[in-house]
Amino acid sequence: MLLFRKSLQRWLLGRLPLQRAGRLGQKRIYLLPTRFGLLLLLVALAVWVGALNYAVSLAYALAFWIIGLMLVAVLMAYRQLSGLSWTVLPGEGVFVGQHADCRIRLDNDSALARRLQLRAGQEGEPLSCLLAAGSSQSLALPLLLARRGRHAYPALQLWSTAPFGLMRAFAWLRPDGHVLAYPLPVPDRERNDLHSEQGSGRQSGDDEEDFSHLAEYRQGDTPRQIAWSVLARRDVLVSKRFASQPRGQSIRQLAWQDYPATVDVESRLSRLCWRVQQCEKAGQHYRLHLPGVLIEPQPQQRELALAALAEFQLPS
Amino acid sequence: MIRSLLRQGEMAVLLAVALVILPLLLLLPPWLPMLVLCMLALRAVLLRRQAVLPSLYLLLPLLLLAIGGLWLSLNTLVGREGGAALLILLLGFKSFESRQQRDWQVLLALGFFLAAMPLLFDQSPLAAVWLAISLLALTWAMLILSGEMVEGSLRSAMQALSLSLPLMLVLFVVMPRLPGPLWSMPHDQHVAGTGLSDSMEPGSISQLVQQQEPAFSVVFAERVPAVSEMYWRIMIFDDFDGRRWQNVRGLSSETVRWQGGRLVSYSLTGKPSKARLPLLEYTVTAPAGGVLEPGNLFKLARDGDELFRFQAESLLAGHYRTVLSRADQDFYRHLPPGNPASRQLALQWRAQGGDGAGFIRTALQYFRLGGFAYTLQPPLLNSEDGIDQFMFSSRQGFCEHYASALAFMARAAGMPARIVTGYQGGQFNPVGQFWQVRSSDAHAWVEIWLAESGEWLRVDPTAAVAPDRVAQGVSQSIPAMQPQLPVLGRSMPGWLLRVQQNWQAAGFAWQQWVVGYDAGKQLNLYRWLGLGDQVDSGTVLRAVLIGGSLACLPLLLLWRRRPSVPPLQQGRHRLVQALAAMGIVVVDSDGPLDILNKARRLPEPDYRQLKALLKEYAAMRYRQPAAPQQARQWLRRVKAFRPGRQ
Amino acid sequence: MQSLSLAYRQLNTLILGKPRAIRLALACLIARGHLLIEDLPGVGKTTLAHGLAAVLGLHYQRVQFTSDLLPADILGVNIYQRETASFRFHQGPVFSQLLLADEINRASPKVQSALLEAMEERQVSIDGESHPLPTPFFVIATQNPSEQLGTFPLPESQLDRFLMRISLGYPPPEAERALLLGQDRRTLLADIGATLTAADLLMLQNKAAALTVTPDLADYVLALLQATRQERSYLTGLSPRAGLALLAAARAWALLEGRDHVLPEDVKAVFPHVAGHRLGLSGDALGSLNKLLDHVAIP
Repeated sequence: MLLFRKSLQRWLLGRLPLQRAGRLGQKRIYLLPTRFGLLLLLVALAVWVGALNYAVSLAYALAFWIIGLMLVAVLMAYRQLSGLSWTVLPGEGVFVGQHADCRIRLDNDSALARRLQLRAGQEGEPLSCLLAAGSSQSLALPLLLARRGRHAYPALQLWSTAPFGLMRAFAWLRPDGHVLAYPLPVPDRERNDLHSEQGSGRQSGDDEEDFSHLAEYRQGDTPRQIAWSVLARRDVLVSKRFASQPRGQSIRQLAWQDYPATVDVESRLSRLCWRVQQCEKAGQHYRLHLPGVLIEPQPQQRELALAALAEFQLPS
Repeated sequence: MIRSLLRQGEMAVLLAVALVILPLLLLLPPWLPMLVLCMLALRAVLLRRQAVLPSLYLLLPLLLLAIGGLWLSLNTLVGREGGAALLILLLGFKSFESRQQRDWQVLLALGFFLAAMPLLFDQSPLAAVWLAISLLALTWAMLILSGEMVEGSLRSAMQALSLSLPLMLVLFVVMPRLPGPLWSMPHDQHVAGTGLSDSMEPGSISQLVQQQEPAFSVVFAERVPAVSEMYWRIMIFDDFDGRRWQNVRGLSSETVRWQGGRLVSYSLTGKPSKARLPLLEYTVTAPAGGVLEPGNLFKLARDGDELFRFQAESLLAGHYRTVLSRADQDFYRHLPPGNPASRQLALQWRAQGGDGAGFIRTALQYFRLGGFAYTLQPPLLNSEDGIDQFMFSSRQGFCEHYASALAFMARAAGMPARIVTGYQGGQFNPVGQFWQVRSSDAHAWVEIWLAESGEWLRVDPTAAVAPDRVAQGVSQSIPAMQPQLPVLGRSMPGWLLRVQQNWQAAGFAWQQWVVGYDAGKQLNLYRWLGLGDQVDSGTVLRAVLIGGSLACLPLLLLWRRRPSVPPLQQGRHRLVQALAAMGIVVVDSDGPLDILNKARRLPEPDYRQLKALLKEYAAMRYRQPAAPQQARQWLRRVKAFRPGRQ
Repeated sequence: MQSLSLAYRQLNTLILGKPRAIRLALACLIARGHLLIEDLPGVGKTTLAHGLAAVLGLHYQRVQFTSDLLPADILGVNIYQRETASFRFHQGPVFSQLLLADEINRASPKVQSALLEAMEERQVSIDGESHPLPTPFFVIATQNPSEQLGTFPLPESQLDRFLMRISLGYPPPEAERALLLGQDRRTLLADIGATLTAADLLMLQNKAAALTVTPDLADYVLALLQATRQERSYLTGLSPRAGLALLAAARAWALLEGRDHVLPEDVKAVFPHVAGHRLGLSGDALGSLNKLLDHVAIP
């Protein structure tokens, strides 16, 4: 039975094209009685048999009224889904091991309030939503991402048993969307940027590493920044600029080659990922170098960089 | 407060099933439904307090205890009453075992089943009304339980029920009915029908006469007999023990030669009592569904107290000629000892009258002129010789007294005699064009076998004492008892009579077409509608298809009734969807300019088109509220807008 | 309308990189409301006020509020005239068409309330005699949010008197660069001529008040008000009066946008500035209001 259901489901899904948006109609909506519906049918049957046997006319009426109610429930359950529009929303990437949101938006342009439930596949945790007449709602199904890379949205099952709980109208959606699982950031303190160390009040022992250039003294520069040696030599007030300074002009290089050959791909990606994060946090400009990929500073650099890390050397 | 209570679907379920079992208070020993109602109330309290439910170990012994009590008070757990009682008991206990939605759904389904229970006892229009109320409550509870909002839920329930009503009616009419039961049921012994009792003693009929319930109804085909000719016979009593008349023997067979009379055909609808229904004297052939027993009595083939309807022909004022063997004659002459004075008088009459007819004449004259009075409150006949006391001292009585006395006298005079009980007369209902016979028409009379002509002759001594009783009916004939008769029994003002008759007509139609709708009627209807000459799978399928599609019309109308979202909102939705397909996400808090702003990256022609549409939209909503026509035109243009497809 | 856009352009050459603030200030003026600028010193508040006065051809006064200021210093006093042996009313600086009340939170509450009363009633009552203020009458008050020491923050009930609260903030780098390279603003100010007369302004004000507001838009404003009342993080929601103020500001904004009807976008544009100080939010906590705008669906 279960096997049959599984293969039926596969067959159903196989017929569906991947879609970015769609509108549910006759061809997509399937109807089945719920357990409660079957129970009530059984009751109707029992009442009918009793009516036959005792020749109780009004009991016939009761049995047939229940049957009629079931038919009305079929129509009403169908109406819950019919004409509903859905649109895939782009998913926001997360790090491996986190839950990403598979986001989908439902539009109800009828004057009928809809009570719907949505879940990923056949086993997922269902998400309920009450869609008022003429309203829209975005739903986010949590999706655990265990591997790095691009994860397609799973097939979704949208169903409703409203209003009676007797019939279950359902439809399968195959949303054409994906979420990215970025590599899990692994701290890389050796190549950590200067900024956080300054913040932690360390002395400028490793200044050389992050020192960028000398610049004219500006009001507000701390004494620590002043290049005393220059002052002594040339009697000019000059400040040291560090690469990690928020408004600094320097660009940090985050490169694949920063690591010895012994470090494997995933560890490299994880460390680079952590460093991208750190740069973003500090507002530091950076440039990400991967074999064949170069991400320059630009708007939405974080997303691009993380996406590049996520999809690195994976077939898309 | 109440609203918030009902917000819980579980509460709604409890309320609905309580409503469903309410009528059982009248139909079962009241303690039982009362107990179940209390249990439901207690369950509601526990639900309200979110309290812990009692454990199964406590519930099971309690359930067994309750079932024990049920057994003690009903002596049965099956059949109509036993079954219903057991079911509601189970319902009560199930409610204490209901925790999850699924349990409550089972409870609700049980409620639907229980809604059928009162119908086993009563199928009056009132029962139908209650059925509708029960269904409404259950449907409503179903809505709430499945999570619908309380607001408007009652309306939704009504809508669903009225949409399914035509379907129900079609199925009711066309789904085949069985002529007989699938299996026979143990019959409830102590349920008294409106019929007559097994024996007759002073008081047994007068008790009936004081009631006004309809006993049965009759439609005559063409000729209608006079009221005084309407003798509806049900039972014969052939043995007298000095006080009570009983049916002891009953002949095994009888050869009757009918003579004279004129044929009247009629159809009768009534509730059988002990498988007996009245026949108009004398019905010569057995109606379908039963047999004629000796004594011209009708016995149904099947036991039960469901309403029964039959057609028959009767030989009015015919002669009931049959041969009685010596043994039979002796049996019909048997009397217990006692009542010496009456015996003497009987012999005296016999001597005076000469033949049997002469004896009858003398007897009737004696009753007519002997200072006898017709009354419902005769003095108690408590002496050993009850007949003597009646004949010579009290001289007051009701039909049963007179019949009893006459039969005694005939037997004492050596003539075979027996008592027939049934109904006499009836009231015509001009609205429904039928005759209504009531309990108050119950009657007893005598049949005396005349050896000369070999014929059972009907002799009604009551007619001699109170001719009105036979000619007009009981309510006109007993002035002494009028004050005690219910209002309806008295001669009433015209309008009240009309109301009553209309009511009766409606009741009759209900009986005929709803309660009494059976295989026969169904077949007639199939023929009349041209669906076929018999009710078989083919015709039923055809009828279901045709009727079903007609009944689905309201559903279709509901479906077609397009949700009336204003065109502007609808159009905005369309636009938002069209943009979403292009990857432009518009949210509800975006105004027209925001949308335009977001859509900047659309191809130039699309953008220009969108800009024009949005400008119009803004103008219609925020500048000058648009005429509906204008808005619809705009909506059409929006529907034609397909970005990215040019 | 053309002169209005000319005025707007001129102000933009005067105060660089702040078109939105200028537009809000103009809208506030056209909506017959008073403006509260919450900002650091030196970002151009005075220049803005001055420029507005110049462009609109308004009579301009500036009062630096200090803790020793007295109500009479602003409203004016009755002075005994020996020649006529009578009191003559000497108008204070409040009798101007545009009053810049600098650092209003430095003055004592007494002075603050005297000014605010005058703003509300558009007249000054002294010794039982009332003197009407000129029309148009427009107050730009400034306060420095970061200085708390020795100041008297305006009570929330009185903040209601200001139609809008805006902050100018630092100019964007290019604008600042141009500022550094360009002429002194003061001399520039001298070059600016009035492009509007007081009568024009009055006409504009009337025009703005007559802009169409459809029921649909009113529903949106209502939805916004409701949302502020339901939001838990605000102490109180917006009052009906605030709703009217919002509508007035939105009308003025729509007029500036060159429309004869009000769109939800107009409401959205002015909403944070009309609602912020009424809800007791600090100048940099307007994010929650923008979030609210994102959540309230346009009916």
